[in-house]
Amino acid sequence: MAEIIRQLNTALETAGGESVTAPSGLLTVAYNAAYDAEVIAGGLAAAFPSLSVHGGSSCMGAMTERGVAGGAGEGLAALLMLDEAGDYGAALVPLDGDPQSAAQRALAQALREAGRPGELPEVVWCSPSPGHEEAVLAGLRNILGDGTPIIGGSVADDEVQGRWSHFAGETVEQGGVGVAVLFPSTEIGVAFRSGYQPTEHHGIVTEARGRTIISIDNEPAAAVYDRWTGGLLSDAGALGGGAVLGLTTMYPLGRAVGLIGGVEEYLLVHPERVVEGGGLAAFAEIAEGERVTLMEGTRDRLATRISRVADDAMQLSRLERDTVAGALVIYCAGCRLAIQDDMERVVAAVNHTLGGRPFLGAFTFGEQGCMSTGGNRHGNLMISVLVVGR
Amino acid sequence: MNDVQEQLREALMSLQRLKDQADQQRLETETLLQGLSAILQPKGPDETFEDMFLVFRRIIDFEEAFMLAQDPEQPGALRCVAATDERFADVQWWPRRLFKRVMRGKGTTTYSIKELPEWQLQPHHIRERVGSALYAPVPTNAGHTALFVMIHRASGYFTRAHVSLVSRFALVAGQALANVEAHRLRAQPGEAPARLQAPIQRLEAEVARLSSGEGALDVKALKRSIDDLKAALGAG
Repeated sequence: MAEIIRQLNTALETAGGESVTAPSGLLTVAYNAAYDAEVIAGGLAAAFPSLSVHGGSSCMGAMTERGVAGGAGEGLAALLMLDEAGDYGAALVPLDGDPQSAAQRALAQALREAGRPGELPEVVWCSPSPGHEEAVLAGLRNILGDGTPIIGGSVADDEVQGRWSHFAGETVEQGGVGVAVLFPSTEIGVAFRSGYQPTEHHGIVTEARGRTIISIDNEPAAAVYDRWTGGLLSDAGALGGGAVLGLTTMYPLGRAVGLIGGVEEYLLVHPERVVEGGGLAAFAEIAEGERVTLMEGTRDRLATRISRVADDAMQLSRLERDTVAGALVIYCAGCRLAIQDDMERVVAAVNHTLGGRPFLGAFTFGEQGCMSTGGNRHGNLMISVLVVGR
Repeated sequence: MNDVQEQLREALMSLQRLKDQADQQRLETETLLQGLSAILQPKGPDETFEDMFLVFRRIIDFEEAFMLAQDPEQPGALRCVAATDERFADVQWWPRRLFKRVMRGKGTTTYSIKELPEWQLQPHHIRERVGSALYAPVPTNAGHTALFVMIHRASGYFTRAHVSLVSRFALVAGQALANVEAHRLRAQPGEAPARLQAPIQRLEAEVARLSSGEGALDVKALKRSIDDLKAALGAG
């Protein structure tokens, strides 16, 4: 912790001026869930009382422009956005069985901290605990509409054991919703995409309950999925039931949420378990009547696709490489685990697009972002990028 | 799906985005030019502001709108100079943090007015049926900044994209204000004959009296009439 505070102080001294004594801006932290969030939150809040500080646990460390920070049981990285002319606020509220209401209370608190009560932020950064992301987004959208990009990622641990945590200021939770509101004085751009392509296999969800697809085209969902993938589940002896998270990472299901230029834009759902009766449980909701398409990924695409997502974020905001100050990146933990040996290629791809500007990447158990055609959404195996101009 | 197909999909999506941006820009430019053309036609203040609101209605479907300018009788306050709804007409407003920030040049939108002191200082009938609001700065010829406000009863109705759009159209609102001010200045010489009427009538009566041979020249009365005329001219 002391080393992180020393490095942040060095960064502030480099920035110079008044920012050294009373810096204004947003400090975002991604850390391994093995670390004590109370220590991180308390240390940063004491060291930088004038900053808005928030953070969330990330699967097997984090990444920055310098590379992947950490791995199993370790890793912490932070991005400091200094912006004297902007306004920022962060808040964290426990879910208390009502994720929609919790998200709305967190938003209101964050706006008050930013000194902008009732005002629409340029962008909302959210870090929910896994399991209730759709309700969190619904709560935020009920207040903000769909005109404000909501991006972020669900907090994570290394082995899906529920050890995740998050914080805002000195408030720490293990099951809450974190919200940061950004009113930057410079341009920002966002993009939300995946590194997967559609295959020719598709069908209609004929029965679903929350995050479980019971049937596709009136057949048990797992059997349909197994046929589409050429026996991926049956070959592994998983068709009868059990965890399939690692097996399905390269073959998620896609929901077409809109069309751009006649091309469908997909939001992904990651099957994680075959349930009794042959249904497929996933990390995101699918409604009955929705069409699902089998998607396909490759290690190469997962390693390099992030470059195009960052480029989209820059293009949509008309930012050029030399006008980018930095970026916040959300990269699915599932993809990170699938291509562990290639993670330096992911870092290189971001650096290539951003020209080596500072960025913070968190590895999350669910991603939130603003799609070109579908508004603010929660998905799996997705990449969400926020670029900030100078 | 192979890489060529993937590249084709990406290219199609990028092309569509560029086309959408170009279409949007063309539509905005046309609307802006048509709006300026309508505003620049010589007409009275009411018609000018009506045309201004029509231009903004073409770009955003707001419920009501009004424009605030510096209150000439109360330094620091703003006064409504134009509104689509009579309830906002001539209402005085006191800028706090939000209005001050907008008047420094950056528009914004609020999804709720409940915690905004600018609105909470207003009586209930002004606040009722106001959910969300959009605020845009309008530079004026006088060097001040006026404030254009749109409202809608729905919470979160306006977006950041709406703010950018209205900010780009602030020129129309600024030109409307300038035209109304020019109209006021033009109207002033028209008011001069009324002020000059009395001294001129006295002079005409004096000339008529002398012409009819009804008396001698009254130098003092003539001088008083000339002084009155000078005073009336000076006031114009």
